[in-house]
Amino acid sequence: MRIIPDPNRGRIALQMEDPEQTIITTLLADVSQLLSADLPEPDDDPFLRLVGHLDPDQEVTRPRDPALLRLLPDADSSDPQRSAEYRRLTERDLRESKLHSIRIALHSLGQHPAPISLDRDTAHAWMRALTDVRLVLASRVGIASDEDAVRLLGDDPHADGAEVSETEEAILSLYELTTWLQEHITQFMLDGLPDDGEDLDDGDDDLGDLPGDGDEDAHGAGGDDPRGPDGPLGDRG
Amino acid sequence: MTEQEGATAVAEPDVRGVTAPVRDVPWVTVVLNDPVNLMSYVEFVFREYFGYTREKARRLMLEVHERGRSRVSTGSREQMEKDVQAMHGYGLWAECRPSDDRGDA
Repeated sequence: MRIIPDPNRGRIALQMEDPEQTIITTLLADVSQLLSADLPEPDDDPFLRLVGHLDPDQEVTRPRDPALLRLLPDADSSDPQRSAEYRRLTERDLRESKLHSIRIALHSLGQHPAPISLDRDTAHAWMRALTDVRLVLASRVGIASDEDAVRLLGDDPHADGAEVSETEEAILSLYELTTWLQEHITQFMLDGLPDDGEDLDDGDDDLGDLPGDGDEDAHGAGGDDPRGPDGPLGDRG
Repeated sequence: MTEQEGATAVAEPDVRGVTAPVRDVPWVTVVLNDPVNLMSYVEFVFREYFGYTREKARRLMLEVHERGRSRVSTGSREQMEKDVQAMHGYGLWAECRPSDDRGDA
C-alpha cells in the first residue's frame, strides 16, 4: 500500500493492492456488522422514530461484548444508573454516526483499482472508521493497556514466554496495517488544520518544558479551568 | 443564569430564575487513556472538536497519555454529555460527571 498526500489539493490518495483492499473492506464490514447487531429497524415515519427513540420503556442493554462496549462506552463507569439513562438516549445516534463513517469509507473503496483519492471529509470518515476497527481488533487480541501494546506489538510478542496463537498473530498484523494507515491519514488531517493564532501559540512547538510550565491546567489542582482564552468553551458555562 | 439584581423590588419575579442553582453545578468531561488511540489522533480531536490550540491540545493529550486521564472540558451537564458523545463518536474513551464528584476529575 502507498499513501500519497496532496496537501495543495487537500486530498490524500491510497494506492492499494487487491488483497489489501479486500482486507480493509472486510475489516470495515465486520465492524459495521458488530454495530448493526440488535439495532432495531428505524421507523419510516420520522415522528414515530423520534418518539420511539425517547420511549422510556425501550430497553437499551449494555453490550456484553467487550469490543462493542469499547465502541459504545458508559458515560460514567461509577454510576451505572446514569450510564444506562445516557445509553438509552444516545446509543442509537452513536451507532448510526459510526456506521455512517464506515459507509463513507466503504463507498470510497469502490474507486479501486484506481488510487483511492480522499478529500478531507472522506479522509475524516476514514480516520474515525479506522479507529473503530483498531479498537475492535485490540479488544479481540487483548490489548487492554499500554504494557499489552508494547508486549504484543514489540519485536518479539513471545518474550516472557507469552503464548500468541496464529490467529492472534494475524489479528496483530491487521492491527499494525490499520495503525499505519491511520497514522498517515491523521497526519494529513492534522497538517490541514488552520494554524493557531500567533498571539496564542507563539509558534512554539517545543514540548520539552510542558510538565513544568506551571500553567492553569496543572492536574488535580482543583482550580484548573480548561476554558482558556483559546478555546470556544467560554460561552458554554 | 444568575439572579437578577434588585429582584426583590420586582412585583412579578421571573420564575425562570428558579432553575438557576441547578444549572450552575459544573460538570466535567474526562478523557481516559487507552492503548489504541494514536497521540496524533487525540491531538487532532482536541483541536478540531474543542478548537484548542496545538499547544493546549498536545498538553491535554500528553496528560491523558502520561497520567491516564485529563479533564478536557467543563460546563453544564447537557454540554458535557454532548462532549462525551462526541468523544465516543471519535472513538476516545471519555466520561462525564459533576466536577465535585471526585478529586481527580
